[in-house]
Amino acid sequence: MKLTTYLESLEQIDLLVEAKVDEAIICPLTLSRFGKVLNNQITKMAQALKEKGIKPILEWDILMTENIFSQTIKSFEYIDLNEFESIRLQDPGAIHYILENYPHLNIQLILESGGHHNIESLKTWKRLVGDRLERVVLSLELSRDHLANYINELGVEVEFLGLGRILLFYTPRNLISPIFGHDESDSKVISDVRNSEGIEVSASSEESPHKGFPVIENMHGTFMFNTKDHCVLEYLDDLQKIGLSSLRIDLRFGHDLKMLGTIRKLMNSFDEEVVNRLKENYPVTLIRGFFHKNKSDVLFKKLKNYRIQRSDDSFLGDVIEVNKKNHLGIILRSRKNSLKLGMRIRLLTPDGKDKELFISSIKTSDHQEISEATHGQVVFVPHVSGVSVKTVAYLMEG
Amino acid sequence: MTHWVPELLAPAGSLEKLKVAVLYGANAVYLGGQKFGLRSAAENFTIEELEEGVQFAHERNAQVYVVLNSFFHDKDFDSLLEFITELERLKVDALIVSDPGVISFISANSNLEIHLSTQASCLNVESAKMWKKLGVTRIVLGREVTVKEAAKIKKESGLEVEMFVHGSMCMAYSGNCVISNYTQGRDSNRGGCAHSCRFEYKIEGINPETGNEFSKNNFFMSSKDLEGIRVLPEFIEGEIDSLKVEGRMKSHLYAGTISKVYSEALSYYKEKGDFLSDELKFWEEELNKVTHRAYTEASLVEPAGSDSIYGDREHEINEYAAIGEILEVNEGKYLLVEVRSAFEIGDELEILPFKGRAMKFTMDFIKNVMDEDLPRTKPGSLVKVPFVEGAQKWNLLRRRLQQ
Repeated sequence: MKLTTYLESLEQIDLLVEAKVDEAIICPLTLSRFGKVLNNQITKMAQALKEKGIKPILEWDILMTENIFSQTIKSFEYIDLNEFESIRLQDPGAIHYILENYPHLNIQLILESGGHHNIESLKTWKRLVGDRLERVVLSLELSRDHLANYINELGVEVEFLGLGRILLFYTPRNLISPIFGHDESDSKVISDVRNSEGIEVSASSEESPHKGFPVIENMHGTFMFNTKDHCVLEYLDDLQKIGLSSLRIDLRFGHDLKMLGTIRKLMNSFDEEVVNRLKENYPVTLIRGFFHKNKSDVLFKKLKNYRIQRSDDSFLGDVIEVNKKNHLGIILRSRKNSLKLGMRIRLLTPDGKDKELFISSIKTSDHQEISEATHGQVVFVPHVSGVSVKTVAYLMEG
Repeated sequence: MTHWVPELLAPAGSLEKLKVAVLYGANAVYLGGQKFGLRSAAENFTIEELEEGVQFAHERNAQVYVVLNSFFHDKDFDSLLEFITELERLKVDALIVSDPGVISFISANSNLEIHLSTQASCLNVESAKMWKKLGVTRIVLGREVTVKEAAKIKKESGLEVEMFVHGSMCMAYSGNCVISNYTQGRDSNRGGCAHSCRFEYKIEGINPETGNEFSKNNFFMSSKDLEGIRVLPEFIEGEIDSLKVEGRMKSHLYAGTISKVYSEALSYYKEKGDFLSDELKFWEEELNKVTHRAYTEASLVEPAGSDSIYGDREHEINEYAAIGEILEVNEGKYLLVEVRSAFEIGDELEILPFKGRAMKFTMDFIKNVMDEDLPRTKPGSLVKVPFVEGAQKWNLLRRRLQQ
């Protein structure tokens, strides 16, 4: 399993060498969401990494509207792509552009967000990118078992975040600088934000139990992170066993790069005590996220009352008025079934009651007695206690 | 001579809302089935309702698109084949999909047309070309794209393009927000969005200008609502194929009013070839009569700036109340109304006809269905109110609120 991390400056290289890092991701200011590296530094950094036996990988992970895309690709006039064998991409436009224009570059596909939580999707990307696909970077929302399955089925390198921030939200809009009273016409602060490392604030809401979401605004927009960082270091042994190709450690945002050395040692010889110490000393609370199980759809059944949905061929219509001891108003919605005198109907209420009614009379709104009502008609039948508006009416079988 | 105009695509959160949208002028509607959409709490359509909805729409030359735009997990595929087989049998006009795996699956198992959902955040020409390789015929572009960029994407990709023209907006790139997943345990990309972007947040940090500590409460992630009525000339010039209205969870009055206003505006252009009319002001006034946040053109003309943030306390502007709809017109005698919001004797209500100006009338009488006089109504009841010439079944009623 390779150890992959980020290189933000030439000064960091020695620490990466010491930790025997296999790959270093270089994030250009103009191409990468949290990039800090200026175009004129990129070649130097890539060469320095190669001299030390570390593979440099270029990251181009911003999402781009058409105008931004046109501006962004001008960066390649200043970056010597021959220094790289691989590039990391997320925007499908960037993928298409690299496939068409830079045939020597292998692609590491970032599939951490978007519809990439199923094998069909991953295989579709594999087919689209073809033999240029070197690696897929998979979503933190995948459980261990899914990860194992995909590693087994895909036949390409798979990367997963071992330690680092969890990105929750990404917009191209500048959301923080306006809070300081600056808008687009107030160019100084905005340009400071856009051209430098950006600004970071903390956001907390009374409506959420989680306090202190880190939020960064930079030239690419605004990004919110989870209050807790992602960590699966206690499962290193298992990750090696299931065949994970690359473990990414993201210590940007002010963390101590010396942790890389400890993690490398853990990869060589796992020690739970060391993991626990590392976690205790980490400045932010750590979670394993969905690594055990992703149950983020189990609450959906509670969001809706399934009792009020029409569900079969005997559907008649809905109760739209209840006048106690007098009548039920029913709108006939079925095109197939009609309501007739003498039939029995079943009434399923929103709160789960199951009632029966013998149709002894059917009246229109102008009090005419009728023997049959069909699609679209509003009619009135005898009242049944316990029935409320939104009750669904069905023909009774037999 | 008539002039080309885009399709108007309205939300249909239920069968009733589908009928309302089509009757009020939408050329197409989009709706969700019981699974695979992003509105888990919405009523959504059963197969029987879908069948009726497709029949109703097709009888009136309107198209029906079904959303399957959630991000699938492996187990979701178990019932997908059965569902798309039903959709093909019902002759829906297209599916709106965001997940590459689902696109591949549908292409392999049906002849259904596929539109790429905005959830996939397709933003540029190269991206559109990539999705074209998967067989999609239309791209619902990300809301960050300007109309000019969209026109370029259409021209250079050869795909149909669809853009949002009206409604609430995600602040994040669609499909790139997982706040609910981590804070509420609900997958926002499978229908569980908890709208955390609408919360008020206390922002703390260092002011970059002064270097001093800073703390302020703010709705910094909440977007104003999109209103594109004044951008219609650009949409037409850019030959944008379809204009989409957000809001499957919104009211019947919303579905009706927005469909009516935009369809009337597009009809005006179709006939006259311009928008040089006082009607524009009227259309804007009508759009203000549905519940909404402050409006913005967002990124339709140029990238959204700080004025697109809805920075006030979270509340919606509400000038008019949705009163209900007409279920029966008893010629010369009364209108039978299903009441959704209470009104009383002497109130002035407005009937929203399918075409033309709203008709005002006064509640000279209100009777229940047993013809007993009522001083006021209550929601969830049926009442008889005075007959109005020109009123039609399914017309919506509204009432101006005291300001």
